Amino acid sequence: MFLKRRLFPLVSLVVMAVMAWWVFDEREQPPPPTAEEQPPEETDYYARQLHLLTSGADGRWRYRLEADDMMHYPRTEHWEFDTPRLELYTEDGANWYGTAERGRAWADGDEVLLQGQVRLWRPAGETREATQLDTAEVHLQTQEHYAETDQLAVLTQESGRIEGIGARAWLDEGRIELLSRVRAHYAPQEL
Amino acid sequence: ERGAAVQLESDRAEMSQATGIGVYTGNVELTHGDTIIRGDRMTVHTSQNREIERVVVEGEPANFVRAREGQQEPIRGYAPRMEYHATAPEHVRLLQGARLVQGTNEFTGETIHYDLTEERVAAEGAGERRTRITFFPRQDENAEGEDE
Repeated sequence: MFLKRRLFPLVSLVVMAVMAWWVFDEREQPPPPTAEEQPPEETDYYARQLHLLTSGADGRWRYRLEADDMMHYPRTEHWEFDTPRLELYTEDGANWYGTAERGRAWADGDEVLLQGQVRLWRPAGETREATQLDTAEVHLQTQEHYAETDQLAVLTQESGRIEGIGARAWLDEGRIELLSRVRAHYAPQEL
Repeated sequence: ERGAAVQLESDRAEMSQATGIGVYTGNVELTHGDTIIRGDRMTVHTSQNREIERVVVEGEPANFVRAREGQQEPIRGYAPRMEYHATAPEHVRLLQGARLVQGTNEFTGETIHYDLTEERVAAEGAGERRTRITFFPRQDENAEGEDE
């Protein structure tokens, strides 16, 4: 009983000492540099009038990318390019096309982010109407031929114009989902 | 001659480039001239020349209202399922237990075919849902009768 009474103050003293050291130690260490303060990443190579043709593991062409200027960043392993023009090869040969103000690619080109007046379109086919998707930003997965955005997206087809906030597109199937606040306008009907 | 455009609003939509079909879900409202249709889900089928061929409307119930200028009472239709045809002759088929109401007059039946251009109604019964028409002559018709 006597030992318990003596031990308790001793233990609490030690705990307080450790806490004090931890608090003081924290304050001395400089906070981690914020994104802005990080040194601008160096590019290791730079290309002008780029024509890039990429193929998948099966050897088939996946997409063709043209851009005015392209820079590669080794540390984060990504590319950045201006005014990209994209052609996505689909299984049935009805390719999709894309343009934007700028873009970046990473994960060996499997992931592409297009930004600024992004337009994806596919011309009409025998039974398929032309489709065009306009938005501010699109994240493209080039292997799966899948695109998505959380921005306002405007879908223009011959039959009408449909807009919504957020969109997901399965490009091979030509299936496009608009995720919220949808408004559609179909051309006036013949009387 | 070209009519009014067809407008739709909804929570979500899925468009298929291959089939030309658009499926709208969640608080769906279609407006075409004087006609307003509401439902939980609308499937819009477009024809080869990219016009709306028909719209299948589902709801609990789906409903439409048609308020024509100069018409005293709007006409209202209710059914779990409807088929709306926007191109001439503009008409709507109310299916699976339909009800059509204008003022105090009411039609009910398994299926009701309503021609929106000619304002003509055709009702079909089936099984227990026989066709039933309830007509209340309007008040002023009554008054004329008494004056003579």
